[in-house]
Amino acid sequence: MGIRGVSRSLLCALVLALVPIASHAEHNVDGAAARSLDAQIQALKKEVIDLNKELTLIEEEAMFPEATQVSIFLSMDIGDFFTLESVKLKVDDKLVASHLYTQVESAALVKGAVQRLHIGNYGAGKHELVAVFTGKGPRGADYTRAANYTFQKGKTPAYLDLKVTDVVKKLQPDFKVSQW
Amino acid sequence: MVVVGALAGGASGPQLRRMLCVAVLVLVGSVGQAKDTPPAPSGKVKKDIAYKTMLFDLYTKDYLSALIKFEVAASRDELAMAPRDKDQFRGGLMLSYGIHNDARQLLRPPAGVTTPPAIKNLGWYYTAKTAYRDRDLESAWSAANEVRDGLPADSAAEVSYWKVEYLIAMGRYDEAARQFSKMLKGSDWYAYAMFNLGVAQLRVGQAKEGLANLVAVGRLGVDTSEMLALADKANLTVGYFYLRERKSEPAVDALTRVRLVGPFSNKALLGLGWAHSFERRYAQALVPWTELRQRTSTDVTVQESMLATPFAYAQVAAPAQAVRYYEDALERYIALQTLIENSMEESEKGSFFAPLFEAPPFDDVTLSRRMRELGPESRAALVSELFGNEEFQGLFRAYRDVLRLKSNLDAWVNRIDLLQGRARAEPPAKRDSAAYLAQVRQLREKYNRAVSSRDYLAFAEANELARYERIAGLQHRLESLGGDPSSELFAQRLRVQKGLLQWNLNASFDARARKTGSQLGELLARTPPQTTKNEGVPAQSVAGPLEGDAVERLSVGRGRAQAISDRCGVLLRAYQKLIQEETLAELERKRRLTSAYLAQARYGVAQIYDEANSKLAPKK
Repeated sequence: MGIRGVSRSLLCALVLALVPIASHAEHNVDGAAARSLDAQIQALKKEVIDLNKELTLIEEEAMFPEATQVSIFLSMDIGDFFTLESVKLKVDDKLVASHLYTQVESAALVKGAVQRLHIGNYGAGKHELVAVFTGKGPRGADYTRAANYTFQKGKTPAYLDLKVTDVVKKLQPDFKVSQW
Repeated sequence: MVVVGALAGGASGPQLRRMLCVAVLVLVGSVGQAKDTPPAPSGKVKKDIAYKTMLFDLYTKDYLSALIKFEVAASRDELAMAPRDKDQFRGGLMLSYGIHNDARQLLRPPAGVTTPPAIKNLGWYYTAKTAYRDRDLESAWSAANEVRDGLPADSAAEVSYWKVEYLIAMGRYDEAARQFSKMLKGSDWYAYAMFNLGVAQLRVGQAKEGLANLVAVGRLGVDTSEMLALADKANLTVGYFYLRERKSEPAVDALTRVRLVGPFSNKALLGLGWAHSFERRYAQALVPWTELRQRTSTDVTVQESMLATPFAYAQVAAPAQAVRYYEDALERYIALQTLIENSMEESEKGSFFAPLFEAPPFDDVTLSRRMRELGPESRAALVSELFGNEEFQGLFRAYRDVLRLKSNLDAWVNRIDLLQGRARAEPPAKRDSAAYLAQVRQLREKYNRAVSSRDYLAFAEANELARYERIAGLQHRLESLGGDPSSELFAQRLRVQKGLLQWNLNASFDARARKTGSQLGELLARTPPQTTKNEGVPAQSVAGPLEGDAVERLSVGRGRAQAISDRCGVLLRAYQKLIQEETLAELERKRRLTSAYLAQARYGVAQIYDEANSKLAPKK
């Protein structure tokens, strides 16, 4: 066999050895090591969840007693006329919360999830809430709207809902605050 | 009390009447005020909110937060679920979060006939999946067989697919084929099952059956990207089977059905060239190889074509072109070797994947995108086969999960220090989250300014910016030389280059701005959990410090958090080491391969010169 023939055989052997028949990656990760670490992670995750549960219960009980607790939530209904991008929340003229929304978060709200935007302590009496919503309105135009609400705090926990809804008749979004 | 005092003091009739009126008005006013204060939210409302806030984390795939909220709500009896449903829900969350051992126990259908069939089916479905994940094939197979009718259509098709998979994994190929024949046609699962069965049959020598299945997958009329990729893979597998059998025509037939642009196009182009080459059709072999060799050289098939192309030129008696392509290949192999060696050095130092280790994205979508963004020209492309490996990706995900756990625990330690008044002058948790958010806000403001002024340089890559500055620097120097006519041509070329760069940056401005905007959004979403996402503004202070029981419980909690955080640190180092070892092994494999190619290329050039010299040498 001439040199050309040798070269061709060598090259053929090279390519056929390289490319796996099923086109799967040939590399195998060290399975035993990975599985052992995996078992450790699973145990850790459980411990962390359990610890978080306990600490959250202690913290909320200690930091936000029922007599002064106010929780403010954000929810959306439908969401055809408004894509939420950010919200700023003030209570008694102090900025207490601000959030920029990813697409995934906006979609979660449209699907019916609720976000706790703020939890704080407020004395009994009247308080003023102002929420500013920024996003894209109908036809994708920039849209900023504010909603304000005066709530009365008593001796029991207060739950407030900032709700963005679609008003089909007006083809516009509506921004409401209410108290549960 | 005023009225009582007045009575005791012997107030007169009109005076007393006035006081009574005032007292009544005061009392009525109080009652009115109480009526204005809404009552506490009912249990039903609390349960509804607890569930929906958990859904927020679930839909945003923040399974850790979802599980924590679930357990908190369960402790407070704020879950409107029957105990059995709670277990199922908890099991589903755990499965999503990777705690599959416990998930398997929870999702296993409870014994007894009272469990509704739909719940039982779902339970067996998840049991089968988790058992397979744990490589417990017998359990997976028997769990899958417990699933009865009644699942949603897609889930039912998935169960049928898994049954075929389990049998293939157990080496029971004939049974797998029989199981496959019972699958309903038309679903994506059917196509995947057909492909996997075909590959398995080829491996065990059932060529006729295997090829029939793979050819059928390759000829599916599909239009989704996943199915198109599967069809390409099937055609590629058939093509390479025939290549191994040295049957060129069917190999060409199969490989030409692979799309020119797709994840398998490189391998198809390489195989096509070889198929022609086996029949000595070297001119035809040059067509796919010439196309392939122009692609990114970190891909092993491109490296192969860099050698195959000059080889083909040599066969068609074009030695000058052959030498040129061999020399080009030599240069590229040497550059590749340097890249591999530098990468091995970085991997040994632990800095090869530093960007992914230091700031791992907390969601799968961003992880996949960041891995792809390491790009074809980057060193990470050298280990692209590793990235395609599900187990290797799993190592990164696990690393990310542990880092997240550590962040969570460290944040708790800081928060507890703050709560217990052991904080330093500025509580670190507040500082960290406030500083982080301030940084992101600054970036956001820069972004907004860049977008409103259409500052095309704001979104330029580092190399583009460097080039722009280099050109501007050179222009400035030319100007300072006083417009020498001999430099006019050079100045013109600089203007053209600058203009082209500006044009490109302008043309891609909107796309780059959108991408940066979405990355900013992701940055904000990466705020460490359990710290307020509210710019670090603390709640208004509670009346009084923490007392007795809370202090002690928090101390115990702090100790636990620190201990678990330390264990996380150990695990992180273990993962980094494993990832490093896998990367080094892959790079070493690449280095050996490149050395072999380099040797072949040098040999090829030497051959041609040798033959040319022997023709020129006088005959004795």
